Amino acid sequence: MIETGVEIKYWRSMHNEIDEVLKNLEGIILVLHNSMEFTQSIDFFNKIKSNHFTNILYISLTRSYNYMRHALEQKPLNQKRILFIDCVSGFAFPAEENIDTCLYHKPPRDLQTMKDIIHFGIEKTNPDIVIIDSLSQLINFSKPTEQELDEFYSFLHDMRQQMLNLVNNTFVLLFDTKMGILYHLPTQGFDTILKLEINVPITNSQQTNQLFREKTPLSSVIA
Amino acid sequence: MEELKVVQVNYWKEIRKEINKTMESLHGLVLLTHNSIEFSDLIDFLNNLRRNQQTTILYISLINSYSHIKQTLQTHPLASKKLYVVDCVSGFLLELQDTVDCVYRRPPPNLEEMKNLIMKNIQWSNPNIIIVDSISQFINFTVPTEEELHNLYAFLRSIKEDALGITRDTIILVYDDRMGSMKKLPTMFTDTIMKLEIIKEKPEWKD
Repeated sequence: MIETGVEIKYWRSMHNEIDEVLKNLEGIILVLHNSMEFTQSIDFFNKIKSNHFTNILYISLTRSYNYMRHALEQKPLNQKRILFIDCVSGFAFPAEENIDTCLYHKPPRDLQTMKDIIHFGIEKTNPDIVIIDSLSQLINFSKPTEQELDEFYSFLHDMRQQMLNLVNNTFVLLFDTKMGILYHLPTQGFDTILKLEINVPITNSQQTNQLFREKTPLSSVIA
Repeated sequence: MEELKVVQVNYWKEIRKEINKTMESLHGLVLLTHNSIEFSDLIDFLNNLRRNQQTTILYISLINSYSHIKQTLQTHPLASKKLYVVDCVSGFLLELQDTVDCVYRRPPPNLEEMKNLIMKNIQWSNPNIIIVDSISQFINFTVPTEEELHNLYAFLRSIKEDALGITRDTIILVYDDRMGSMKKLPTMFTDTIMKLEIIKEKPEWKD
């Protein structure tokens, strides 16, 4: 196969300075991760603006409020008040079911709807930090079409022009890299791109499973 | 809610916007990890390093032969840099005569011998920058043993103390991470850890 394009990305380990960087985090931030669990992301969120009290608007496209509430009971967020917009249970719980710490919404079908949800959440809570979990539901950076990339850049542009301000000054966009190699990472639209590599030990059973993976009948997958 | 205990979280920042500043000020003990880059990619990296300064580089190669290096340099020249090579690839196979800018040596069997190799060869080349390509021969950061880590830290501390100086101010240890994600980043004794990610897009075949 002939190679067509080569892109080199330079990364620097932030091990010694991560606390300081996250304390002063501002702008539109892309956070790439390798399928980080919500409980693991709490440690990361705790480091963001850790020196003062902050309001977070958390728009979840991947986990239910119920799950996250349970996780936060075990591992609380320090100095942060969080309002969830749960777009996972949105089909099951209509808007009338909204409670103090969570609003339910149907999952956005495109970036325009996502923008409307962010606008709505900002009006409700006036947050310091907006977290979108995750972009992977709306775009795949492995094989985006020209149109998808245009729409995404437009989304970032509108976010910067219409939403980013002195109060709502930090937008964290999570992206799970399990979708594949990021051939078209739109680096231009972001102020900072971070990558979190969560390393968990490989258990013996996992090693064995990798070696002797059982075939799953298609019927059981479909069911 | 079952969760595996996290061994380590590696935080990386993409440094496209600050690459020139980073490369100009790169000093000390540097670990350069990559996903199987070619020697030509390494030249591109070195060309970004201290662009406007005349620098001398000692390149200790455990993976590229001098012949291959010379050939690559013809198409990818190193600007404003003088390169001296210790070829530990061809030295293992053939009896070759040392030249003005290359010596052939047997590959060091361990990090202690690697240090000796560095110390012996800085005398004739008098470099500003030393590159060891690569230390993947000695350690696998995916599943390092306690002993491997202990030996690595002893090596890092030792070369930092003995090989670095005022003019010889940078040592770059290259590591190929194709073996897997680095579960243990050697943050102790290293001044900077960088990662080069080469993304090669392949075309889709069309009928």
